[in-house]
Amino acid sequence: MKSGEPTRAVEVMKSVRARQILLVFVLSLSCTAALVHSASRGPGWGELSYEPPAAGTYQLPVIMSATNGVVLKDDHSTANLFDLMSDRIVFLSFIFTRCSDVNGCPLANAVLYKVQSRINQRPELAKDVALLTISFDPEFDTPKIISALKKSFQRGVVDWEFLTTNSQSDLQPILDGYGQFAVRPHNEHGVRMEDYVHLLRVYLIDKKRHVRNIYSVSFLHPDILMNDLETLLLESQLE
Amino acid sequence: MKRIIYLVMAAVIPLASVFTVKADETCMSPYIAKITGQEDYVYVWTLGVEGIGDEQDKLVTIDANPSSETYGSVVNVLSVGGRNEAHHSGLSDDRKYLWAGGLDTNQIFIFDIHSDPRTPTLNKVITDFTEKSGGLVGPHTFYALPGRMLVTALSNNVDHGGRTGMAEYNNAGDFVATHWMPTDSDLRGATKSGQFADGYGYDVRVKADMNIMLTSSFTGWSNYMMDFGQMLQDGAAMQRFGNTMIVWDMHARQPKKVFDVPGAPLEIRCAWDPSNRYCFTSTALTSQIWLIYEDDQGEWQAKAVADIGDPSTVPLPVDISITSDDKGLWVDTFLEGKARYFDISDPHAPKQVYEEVIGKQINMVSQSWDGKRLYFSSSLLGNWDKLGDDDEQYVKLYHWDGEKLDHKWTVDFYAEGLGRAHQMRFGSYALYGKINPTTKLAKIDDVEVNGELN
Repeated sequence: MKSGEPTRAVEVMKSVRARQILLVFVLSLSCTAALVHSASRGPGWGELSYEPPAAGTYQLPVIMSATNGVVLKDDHSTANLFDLMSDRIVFLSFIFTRCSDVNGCPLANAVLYKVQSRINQRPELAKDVALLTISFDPEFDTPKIISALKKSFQRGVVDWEFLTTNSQSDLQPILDGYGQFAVRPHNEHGVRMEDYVHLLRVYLIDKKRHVRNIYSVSFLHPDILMNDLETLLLESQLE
Repeated sequence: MKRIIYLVMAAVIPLASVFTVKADETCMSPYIAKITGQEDYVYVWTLGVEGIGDEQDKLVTIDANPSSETYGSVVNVLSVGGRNEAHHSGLSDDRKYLWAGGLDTNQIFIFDIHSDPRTPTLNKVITDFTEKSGGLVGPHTFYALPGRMLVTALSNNVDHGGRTGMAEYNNAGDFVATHWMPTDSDLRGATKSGQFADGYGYDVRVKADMNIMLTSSFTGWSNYMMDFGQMLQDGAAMQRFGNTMIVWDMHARQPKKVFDVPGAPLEIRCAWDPSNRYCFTSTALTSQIWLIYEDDQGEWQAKAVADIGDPSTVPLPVDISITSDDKGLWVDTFLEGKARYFDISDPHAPKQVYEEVIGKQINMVSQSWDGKRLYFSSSLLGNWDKLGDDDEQYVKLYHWDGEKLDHKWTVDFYAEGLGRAHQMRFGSYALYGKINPTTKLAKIDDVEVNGELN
């Protein structure tokens, strides 16, 4: 099966999969406590084993410029990434909904969900923050699929957009710009497999559209993300 | 048929998930993608030698897949146009690029190893390392962070001594920040726990699960570029070696505590298991294994835990390699040409259980994740390697069955016209969702049998 040639079987699978996705997300959130003590789980599922440095006591140097691109929202409208970022600090994650690795996309969603909850408890922060989650599987992750995601995760006053793209050609420059490695492997006959080879990455972007941190499984944790967010907010207050 | 299916599953199933947080070769950054199975290639960053081949530094690719017809032979040579005192190299977090440094010229070469893993290409050369970093000299360890590369240095451009720091780059090769080592005159908030705060640098490792970064210390440009025999006779030069290790807050990149670890602590290897809250190093001049560990009160400590050979004979420990189960530590001693295996089940009391002479000189060791394959290389520094017939230059593969090393093949780097073999890194097609075209391991029928892969 080649990219861009969906079959009826795939369409059926998508509708089934959409229901499965909701179940997986509910389970992944409800199972958080049970996962805390497992060494194989990323720290973001539980409590940190150390005290992270306090907000404002460290620097987050500019790593690179953020990348713009055309994305597709859950209501089928198109938008520029920079317009969605607006004049806010952004946590940007890349996922695909068929990802089943507990330390992959489910972890990114769960950690951003916790960040959202904390911001909702401090609503004065909400106007300065946006969460953006982009699928790197546009063939499967249609606006309908990501709309289901948004309904599962977005809560309260935080602006959390779930996004996809119209095509691989729209997506690839975004992935390249952020250095998000994600490929669908082929076998020797050129048949693409369903799953992706990818590295879990979440990006912290400041109001000037500079990437200020890049998180991996090892330290993707709401305590750290919140401290980094507050560090940037303190920095912007001094400017 | 059944065996083929298992092989295909072993090759393909690891692709169908996010990369995990451990790394292969058992010595690399926890942030990078890992190979748990068979490596396809070994990339050898090689120092050019006058009168040998084209005399240039080069990246040498050796076929390491036993299913390939060219197994154990050089399949590609990529020269970089001069000699730079080629030394260490490191993979980016996505393993698409290999960074390699020149200790003398301060140039950093970034090779593309993903487009065609068998035939790397030179993607970029960083020529302003010293200028951008504010005076660092001698890019040494290349340690992947998410989306970034942390580069330790050995020296500085003021006195070419050991005072130095680390530079951070993004994966595109753009400079991000410099982190200087703490010194007596500027501890940068760290606690000095002993006599020394020399500001020297060498290796870096991260215990990501503890938010801890460790650095070690060697010597500056004025020593590492000096003739080895001359340096040994120079009392002042012999005083210019590092005596410290530093524990840092990783997230803040801030030094927390400076330890005395006398005698030039070099490579750092940290335990993989999160419950094992310690790392090891070896001291080049005093020939000891040191343990850097968190004590019962949560305080970081450092202590010597074992001798390596007879320290009075100065065996000169160089590279070390920890096993992925944290049970064993390989230690190479340059002047003896020997590899030793220590049982570190009790990290406070390592015990040597095996030794083998690998060659007339030895430096680096790279170990597969399962611990069954060990690659050894020969070169330390251009002016420190042995002379005459003792100047063997090689990469050798040994298999380890838990009791003894079994030699499999040798690539003679002088006979092949290559130069001095230094650091080795692994490559694999599977990292990029590709099948090794030379091994014919996977067939479409076999993939379809598994039912979930297409």
